[in-house]
Amino acid sequence: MLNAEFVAVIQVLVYAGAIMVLFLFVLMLLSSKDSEKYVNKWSVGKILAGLLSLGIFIQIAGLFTANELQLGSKGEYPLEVVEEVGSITLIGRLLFTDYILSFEIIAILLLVAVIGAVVIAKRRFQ
Amino acid sequence: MIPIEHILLLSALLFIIGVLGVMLRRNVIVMFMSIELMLNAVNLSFVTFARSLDSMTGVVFIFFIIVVAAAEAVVGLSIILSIFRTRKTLNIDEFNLLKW
Repeated sequence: MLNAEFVAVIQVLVYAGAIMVLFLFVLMLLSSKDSEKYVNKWSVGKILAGLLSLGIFIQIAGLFTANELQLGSKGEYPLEVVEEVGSITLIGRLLFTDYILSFEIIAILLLVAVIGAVVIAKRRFQ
Repeated sequence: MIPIEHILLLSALLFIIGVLGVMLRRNVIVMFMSIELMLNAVNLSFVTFARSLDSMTGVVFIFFIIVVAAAEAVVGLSIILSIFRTRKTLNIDEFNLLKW
């Protein structure tokens, strides 16, 4: 197992709780009845897209399964430390010490996103 | 114990499904969901490498990626909403507002 309880919980919270609800709200607001028109004809572009994706997949898979995959030096949080202290404690410590500037910047980014969404989606009266 | 190659291959597969979704589908909502799928595939590789390297930096990075993905979803969906008001369609080929 990957011992990442924090990631599991935050994934469910953010994606099932926030982003999916957002998508549902937008789908509720948009009533597009011409969705069957989006079905493309079989075209050269689709074949090209398939070939390109296959190429990218082979590249990534080859990179990940290579025998000489160089993973670099080990970090300072082995499994025993994570299980003893708890992953959430460790992440919290890192977030508020080493990554405090990034944390503050991401807070401002969220604020900007909220304001931007309100401004963009606001209905304009002429 | 799942070998990390399997998790990494799953991550690559999810990423390619996202790429194909962006390239093949014309519905802008589905394309948006595919972008989210690609972000999550990268998250899966991040958590795998973080564990196999005994590091916590990858998990902190996932935190930041999820926050950026949430911000992107909020702004993107509001842009889609405001374009839909004028164009009355969700087809990406009709969204040529910047073209002329």
